[in-house]
Amino acid sequence: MKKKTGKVGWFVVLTVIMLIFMVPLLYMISMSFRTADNMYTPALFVKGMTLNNYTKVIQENPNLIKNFFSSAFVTITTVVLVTICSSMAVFGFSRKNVHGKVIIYNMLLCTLMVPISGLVIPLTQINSKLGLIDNYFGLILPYVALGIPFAITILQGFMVGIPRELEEAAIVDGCNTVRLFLQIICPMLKPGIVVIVIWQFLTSWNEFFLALCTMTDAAKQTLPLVAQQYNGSYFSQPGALFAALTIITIPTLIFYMIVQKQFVKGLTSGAVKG
Amino acid sequence: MVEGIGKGNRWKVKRKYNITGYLFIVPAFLFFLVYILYPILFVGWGSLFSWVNLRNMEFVAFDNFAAIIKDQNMFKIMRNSILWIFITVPVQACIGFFLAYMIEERLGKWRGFFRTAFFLPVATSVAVVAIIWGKMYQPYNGLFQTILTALGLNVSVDVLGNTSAAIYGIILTNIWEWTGWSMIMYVAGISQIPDDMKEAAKIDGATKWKEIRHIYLPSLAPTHKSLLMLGIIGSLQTFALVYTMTNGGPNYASEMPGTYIFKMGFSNQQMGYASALSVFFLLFALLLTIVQIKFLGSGEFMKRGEES
Repeated sequence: MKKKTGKVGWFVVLTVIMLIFMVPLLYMISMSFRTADNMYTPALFVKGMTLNNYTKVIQENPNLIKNFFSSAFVTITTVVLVTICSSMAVFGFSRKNVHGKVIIYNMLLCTLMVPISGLVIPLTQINSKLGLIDNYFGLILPYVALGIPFAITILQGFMVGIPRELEEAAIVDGCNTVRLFLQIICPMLKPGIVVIVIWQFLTSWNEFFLALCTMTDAAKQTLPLVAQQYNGSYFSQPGALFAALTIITIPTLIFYMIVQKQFVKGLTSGAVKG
Repeated sequence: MVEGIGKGNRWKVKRKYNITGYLFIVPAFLFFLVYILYPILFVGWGSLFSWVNLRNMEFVAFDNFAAIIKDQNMFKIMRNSILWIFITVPVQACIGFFLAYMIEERLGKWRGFFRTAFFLPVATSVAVVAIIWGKMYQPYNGLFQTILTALGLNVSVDVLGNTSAAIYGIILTNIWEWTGWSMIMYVAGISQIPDDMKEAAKIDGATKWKEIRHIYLPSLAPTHKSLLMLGIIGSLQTFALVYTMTNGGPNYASEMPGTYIFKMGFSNQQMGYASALSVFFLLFALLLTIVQIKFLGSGEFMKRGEES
């Protein structure tokens, strides 16, 4: 009985913290439904809430749907490439007779300590030299390079946990290396792959700095850049601005709510130590 | 490539290079060479020139670095970066840990709900977060101002427009955005602590606080270290928050490495100077990482390669 009341107490404490924590997001959503008259009434719900801001934003910005697809294309391609490259790499690192693999592994991991801001100048120059300014691959390729190291640290934990006997048994059965990788190793890495897919999805979808330096064509810009522009163009219409922000934000929040169980399961499944 | 299984064969195979093994590593390594290593070398080379574009470069040797030392703004940027690290990392770790502890160890149901709720800011785009917080900080009709007025305080507070307060306003936003990440890392860490350790503490009659101090915090050492490392790198690559909320102002008071590099390179068209700044901050990141590894160990990050 005592234990039960204790749990309720913790639940109340957490709920209060969470409500305070949620204020910025609730603020955004609440403001997006308001008219100019009651814009600054200090309450979550006010009288006369309206959807007009949303219709206004959608009507005035025919590019928004294109921007949405830009973000989706960049993100999905990045996620796929990161997943393929990093799971192949950890498999390669686990092979015998791959000399110098520890050095290569540590070089890749050093990338984790490289702040992107220090690379923006050269990456932009490379993109302009290769003609990748305003090209989705001008974002995708650097994102993949920057995403691989973190993905490898996650997957390596799972790779180390795969018993060697399993691989040896597969080889005895006449399984070649490619099949071993695709049919034995990849399924075993699945919880880790789920983690990197979700994480990479969120980071690429939300990346701003490199996108700002690479994408100038309004129709090709990714959503964070669009948000930034609306901040200027709807400066005096906070209702419309917040409606636009809500439209941009809701898809990722829903995405995370759907996948969070898998994400936490992958993170807690024993291989990730930090 | 089928590996030999016969006894004589196996010995031979062992001495060979495993071509297939290399082929599996090649894609990741190519990305590293072209988009990480080459840019680093490029920015080092570019820092020795004065240039706007690649067709028009004038060799100036170390003049750009000399200019960095004389640059009055560098002091502010270094101070802001250090403030950022020293405030963000411990605060996030504390809040993240206690949230994780309450959610994992003190709740029955609803765990998934709270874990998700506190992680939502991480899933929100930094650009969006910066705009929302910028509006909340507004001196007229901003949320914080409204709260202050409602509390009966007749002061006008312009956090982001104040040279001494702006950086703290942004740091608070950053803490809010990333606390969910520390929480989820601690959730992962706590799930690794063996149950018998926790039970042993309970049998010994340890109080909750003692349990946290003697069981939880030491067992989570790898998590603390990786969060510290991510915090250091995170502070040096901050961009969108500062760019959107203050653009480094007022009078460079909230400038951070990323925004300053952007300003010098793209707004002022001093690519050479911006490259030198990039080199400087890359070296600074390297230095902080070495110091950290030297004094605290590398956590779990660097060891794994040797295990395999």
